[in-house]
Amino acid sequence: MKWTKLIRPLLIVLILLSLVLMWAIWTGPNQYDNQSGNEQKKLSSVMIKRQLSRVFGPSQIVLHKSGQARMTMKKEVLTASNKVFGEVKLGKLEEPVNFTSEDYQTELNQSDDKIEWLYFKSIPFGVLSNLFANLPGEYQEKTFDRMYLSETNFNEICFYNTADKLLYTSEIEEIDREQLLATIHREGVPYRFVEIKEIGNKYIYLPINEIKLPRLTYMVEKQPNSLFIERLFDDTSEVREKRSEQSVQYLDYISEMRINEETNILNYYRNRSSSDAMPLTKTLMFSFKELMLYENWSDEIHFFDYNKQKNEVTYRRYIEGFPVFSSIGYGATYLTVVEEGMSKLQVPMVVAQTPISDEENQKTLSSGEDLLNELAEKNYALEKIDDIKIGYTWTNNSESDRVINLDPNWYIYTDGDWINVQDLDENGVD
Amino acid sequence: MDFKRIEIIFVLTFLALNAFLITTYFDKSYNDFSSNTPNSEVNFTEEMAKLNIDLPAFQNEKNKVPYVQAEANTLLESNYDQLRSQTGKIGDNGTILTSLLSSPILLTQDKEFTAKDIDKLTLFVKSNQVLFGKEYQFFRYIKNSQQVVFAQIANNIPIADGTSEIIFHLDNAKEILSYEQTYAGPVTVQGESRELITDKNAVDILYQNNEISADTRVKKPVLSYYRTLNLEELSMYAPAWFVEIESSTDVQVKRVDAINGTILKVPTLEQPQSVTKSKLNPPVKEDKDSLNSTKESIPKQ
Repeated sequence: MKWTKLIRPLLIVLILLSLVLMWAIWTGPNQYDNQSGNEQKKLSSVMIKRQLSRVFGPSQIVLHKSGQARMTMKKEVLTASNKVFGEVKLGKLEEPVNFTSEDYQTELNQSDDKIEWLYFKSIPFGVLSNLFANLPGEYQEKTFDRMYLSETNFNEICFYNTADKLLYTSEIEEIDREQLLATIHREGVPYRFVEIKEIGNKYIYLPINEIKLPRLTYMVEKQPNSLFIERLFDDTSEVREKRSEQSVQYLDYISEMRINEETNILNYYRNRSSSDAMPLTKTLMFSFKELMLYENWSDEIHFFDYNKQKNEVTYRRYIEGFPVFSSIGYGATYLTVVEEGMSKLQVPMVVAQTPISDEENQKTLSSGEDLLNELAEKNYALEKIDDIKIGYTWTNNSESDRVINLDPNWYIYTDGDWINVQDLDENGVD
Repeated sequence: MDFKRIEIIFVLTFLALNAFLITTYFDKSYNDFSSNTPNSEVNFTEEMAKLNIDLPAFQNEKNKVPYVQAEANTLLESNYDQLRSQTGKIGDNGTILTSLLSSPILLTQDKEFTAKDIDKLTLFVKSNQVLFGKEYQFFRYIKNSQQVVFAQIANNIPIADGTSEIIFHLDNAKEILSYEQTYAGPVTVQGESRELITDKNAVDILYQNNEISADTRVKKPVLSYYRTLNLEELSMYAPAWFVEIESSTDVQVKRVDAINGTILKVPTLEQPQSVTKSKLNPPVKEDKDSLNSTKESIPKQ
């Protein structure tokens, strides 16, 4: 009889105990939290610190004075001017006005001196939202690729989108004028005379004279596979390794990382699908966070492209102020991000670390005029060219695979590809 | 309805549920503990002490040092005929100068190699009797083979891989009859300074990889340069910790790349016992490993 009396209190005790245990399990320290905390600490030691404003910042500065234009790509000047802009306070962004490219050029050539910043790719205002006192939501996703202000009127700044032909203006509430001018006009900064050329439907700055640039040689270092495994997989104990002739593959149940051991290019894929397309600003912000974890290039990195169809953001490596191009893929990092996180990544694991000096080894690049003539001689239709830039071509050194050469070359952007003008054949493009 | 039976079923169900929850709870606690364990710092110093490994007083500071570059040169070959009171000979590959002194250098009569001996040799090296001698400094004395090594100083750090050294040979009377010299040439700093692992880290890495045996004495690690890349026209030198490990029978030299903590598997330059007996070994074979080759040291789990 006693036993039957005990059943009910025992049941109550058991129910309470189960509740306590569930609570303890629920609220107890999480293994994943611990791991990620430690990992963060570990990772920070090898990460290169980058500023959002530099990665999405301009890559060229053009000074307009008395109808003449001079350009610099000097990293120090761009970084310093960026620092000044980091403390600028802008008022409301005014409604945009239609402004043709001709109007824009005429505006730049007005009597007062102008400073113009050129972005490699259009960036949304949302990336600079911290500068504005009031950036209306409707403008967050609007983009621009040029910015200018008058040296004599520091009350207003203009943003221009060369594709949409829209000009935005904003009142400058606060700016360190002296600091900005001192930065831009600092002594010893190489400004090259450039002229604007109408190519296709685009106005492109090209140098008036030939340009001499150094051929660069660097010792390269390969980031260890373990570094990426630790960063890309939540639980490294679940990771399996599969080797094939040219590549090594690391897999867990939800993602795959593949390293081509010939090229040292890493590809990562995780099936993360999202039905809702993220706004551009959010995509760029998310991709920037991921970039910080996987790209260890010691020089500058710039936002270079966004492919809407593939939802792919491209960040390009820069050296001495110029973009790096490589047919194998050493020049850029490609990222696809969705709300839940990163779904695709392609990153070169090799980074140029130590310069090997050979100061006398310089290469002369044609002036803009000669370049256009050269393209015309090769029967290249100028209207098919979307952009022209100087870039450094990454090639492996014949003596050692720990050494690379970076040679300056003219590049044209046509049909979605950057092509080395030196490699163009005589056939041209239709 | 038989409530008693239902209560018994509930009791059994909750007993099973609680058993599962208790197992989960303790398993989780264990996992939390084990996940922290690999990250907690293992005290290698204590482990080494237990194995009777005598450690030096470490500096344990993180330094920043750049790579240096040396242009390929034939400076020894083109200048050795200027040497007086000695007969110089350039080796086949043009990089090693072997010199026989006309009158031997007599060191102190002390049995041991003393500071006075170093001073005397330094005086000789810095004089005009040694090519580019002003760029070299005393580096170490190897008791077993009775050799005194001077190393070229680059960026205030000795090049200690045999590619830029002067080696004096002592005979039993503490006389020096000859020396060999290698010379990297003038060096220039390349790139930004890189953060280095500490001297203690270097010794820990060696211990983790079973490079330090029990009952040995680890000498204070010396920051040095080693040739990491040798091209036709130039060489690149990277910082490395030079660690001497003394046992009852011999002294072993280990090098640890001071930037990435890799144990350098390059052979230690065996110093020749005598010029007349053997030619100098060629300089350390620089690492021309491909990028894919694994040079990483694997920490002991």
